[in-house]
Amino acid sequence: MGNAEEGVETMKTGNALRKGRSWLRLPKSRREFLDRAAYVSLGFVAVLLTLPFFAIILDVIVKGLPGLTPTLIWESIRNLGREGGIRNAIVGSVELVVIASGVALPISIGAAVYTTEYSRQGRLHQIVEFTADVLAGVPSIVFGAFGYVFFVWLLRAFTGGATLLSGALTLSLMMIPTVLRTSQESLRAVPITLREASLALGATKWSTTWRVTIRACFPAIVTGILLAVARIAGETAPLIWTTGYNSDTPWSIFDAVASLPFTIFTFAMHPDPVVNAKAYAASIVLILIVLSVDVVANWVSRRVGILVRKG
Amino acid sequence: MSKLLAAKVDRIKDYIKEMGQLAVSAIRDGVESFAKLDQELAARVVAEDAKLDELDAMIESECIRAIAQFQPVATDVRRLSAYLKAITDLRRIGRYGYDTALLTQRMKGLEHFKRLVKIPEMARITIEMTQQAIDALINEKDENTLKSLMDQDDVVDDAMEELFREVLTYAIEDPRRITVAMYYTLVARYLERAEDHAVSIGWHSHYMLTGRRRFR
Amino acid sequence: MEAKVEIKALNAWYGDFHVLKNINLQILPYTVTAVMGPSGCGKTTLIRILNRLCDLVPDFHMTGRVLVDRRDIFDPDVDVYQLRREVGFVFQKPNPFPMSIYDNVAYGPRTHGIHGETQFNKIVRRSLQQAALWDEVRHRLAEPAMKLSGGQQQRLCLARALAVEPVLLLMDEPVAFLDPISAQKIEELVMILKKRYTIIMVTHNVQQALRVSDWAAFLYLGELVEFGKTSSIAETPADPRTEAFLTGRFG
Repeated sequence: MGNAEEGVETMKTGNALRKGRSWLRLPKSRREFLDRAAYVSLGFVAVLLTLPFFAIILDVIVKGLPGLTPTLIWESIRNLGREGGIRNAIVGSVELVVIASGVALPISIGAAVYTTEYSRQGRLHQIVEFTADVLAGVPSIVFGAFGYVFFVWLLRAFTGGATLLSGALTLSLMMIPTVLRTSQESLRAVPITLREASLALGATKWSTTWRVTIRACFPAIVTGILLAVARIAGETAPLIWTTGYNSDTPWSIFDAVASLPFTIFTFAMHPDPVVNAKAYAASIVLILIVLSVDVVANWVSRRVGILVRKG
Repeated sequence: MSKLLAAKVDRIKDYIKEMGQLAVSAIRDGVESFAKLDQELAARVVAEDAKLDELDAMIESECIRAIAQFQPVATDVRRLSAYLKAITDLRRIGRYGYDTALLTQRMKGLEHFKRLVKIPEMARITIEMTQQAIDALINEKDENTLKSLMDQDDVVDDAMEELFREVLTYAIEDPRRITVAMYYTLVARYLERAEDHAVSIGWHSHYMLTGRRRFR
Repeated sequence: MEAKVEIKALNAWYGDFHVLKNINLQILPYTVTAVMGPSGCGKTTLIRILNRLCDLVPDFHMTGRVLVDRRDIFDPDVDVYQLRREVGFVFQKPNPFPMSIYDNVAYGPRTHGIHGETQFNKIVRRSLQQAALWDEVRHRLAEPAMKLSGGQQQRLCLARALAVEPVLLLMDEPVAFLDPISAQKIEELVMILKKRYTIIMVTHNVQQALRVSDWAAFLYLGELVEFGKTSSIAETPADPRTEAFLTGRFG
């Protein structure tokens, strides 16, 4: 048709398809100007967004890299930080996360399974969801204050005061809303038809939930868990009043424990610049730990997600 | 049925009407040519016969295509089945008109020995039955068509019996009349067979409407 | 011949909605029965009652009796899990589990206490053969089921249902989501399977129902309008509503 040929002609000679920096060409109309302006300003904002990230990373690396020695990782704190390393803090953080998870995960996942698979859209259901949503938004310092009053003071007979147990329990409270909600969403995302298929084969509700539903969204649940873990690994406020101080690794949950974020905090506040420098090095360690957990979470979600979603 | 199938069926119906008219003309003109010993008319009837073959093949083809294309069921498929069988009957009816015209040609040089009364009457009834049967098939109304056709069938059968006896009498009186007498019986036979086919069309209509092959 | 399934005076409701009205039906063994009707006529509900999947719907309730092999399936003594083993179900949209092909087929038997690798191997092989899928997947049984094509997935779901050796096989519009060639393969399978199983198939597709089934039930607005041999319904349906449905006057 004649029109098409003309169109091709126009396209050949027109501006739009010239290769190269089209954004340098003068806009031909008001519409095009607005379009270009939007493109440029949004791009600018996006770049702006990444600047703080890079700024922080650079700052920490520059100031912390010199202090990142094997001693730092291997030795425990001595002389209030003037000598030695942060091994007690690293191990302490790991212990806190493990115990917090050990408490939070069964509770959250259990509640998630119950509310999505077993209960009807009733009162209990709504209450659980509402409280989880509210808790998710509570600032960490509030958790710290609560943990202090409840676990350290009120239940001191049970927890032993400011101990690993108290700190872990406080952290678990922070984990619960996140894990609960992500698990719920993951379970809900599993199509009903899979459950029906299992039931139609004569499986019981529990068997179906365990062998099909949870299995189908397992990577999503794991991702949710890892993200919650990454979050609490870096929390300071909940630990300030609940974990006490320990220059070494505790051997019982009723002992005080040191943690990376708290240690970084105290090092940074220290008058001695040598100790300040160690704070930066410790920060690198913490960032690396959290980053690797995030990367693993990402990898898990993508790798196994493909297997599940294909088809 | 779907609109597409309905459109196709309408076309087929038009062809059937056309074929019916041709068949009826063949009977009418064939008998008239015989009665008036009109050789020209007879020749025309003989020539027109080929058209009936054409229509037969065409309608059959259209019906088969509709079945293949639409995979109809229930009334839709019974209808097409009825059409397929009816056109065979129509073809035969037209053929008997042609056969009558052939007899006219054989009568060349011969003459009637009596005024024809029963034969034109039988032809009239046969034509009316054929038209009635086709109407019922196309318009898909029952209205006791089958019963009416079967009654008229009896009338024609009786007429043929009477003609046979009458002609026999004439032939015995004068043996020179035997050839023409035999032609009279042949024509009567053709008409009787033709109207049997008309009744058959009535049966196909009945099946189309009720799915039954027996009466009521 | 004794009926495999007998439905007597069945009425069913979702809350106030009267979805099935006084259904009386008998299904003969080793036959294929097609259940047809326009959308919303209750056909899916009907077959879901047969394996008691309807139990899962909150405001579902019913009256009447449903007998499979002369036993009332709603009797309190009935083990519903065992019932669901004996009454297999293939869903409209293929729904294989996100596991390997092997595990999908072995899921049912595993649930019901079968163990031992040799046992499973035998069952998996036999079921996949019956579903005409064995030759295509025998060398990749450990692969995820989701990698199969739609038609293959549906045959896998069929194999999965057959693995627990049901006596009655229910199919809810099994080829609705499949391409014509896959659909045809499954139709051919059904013709073979009916030698060993009694099959009830819900379908939207009139042509398919007439092709594949021995008996046909036509439901309209919850009522069983007509039930009879497919061939005679195809030639001459008794009820004008059936006639209207078959000739496409309403879908």
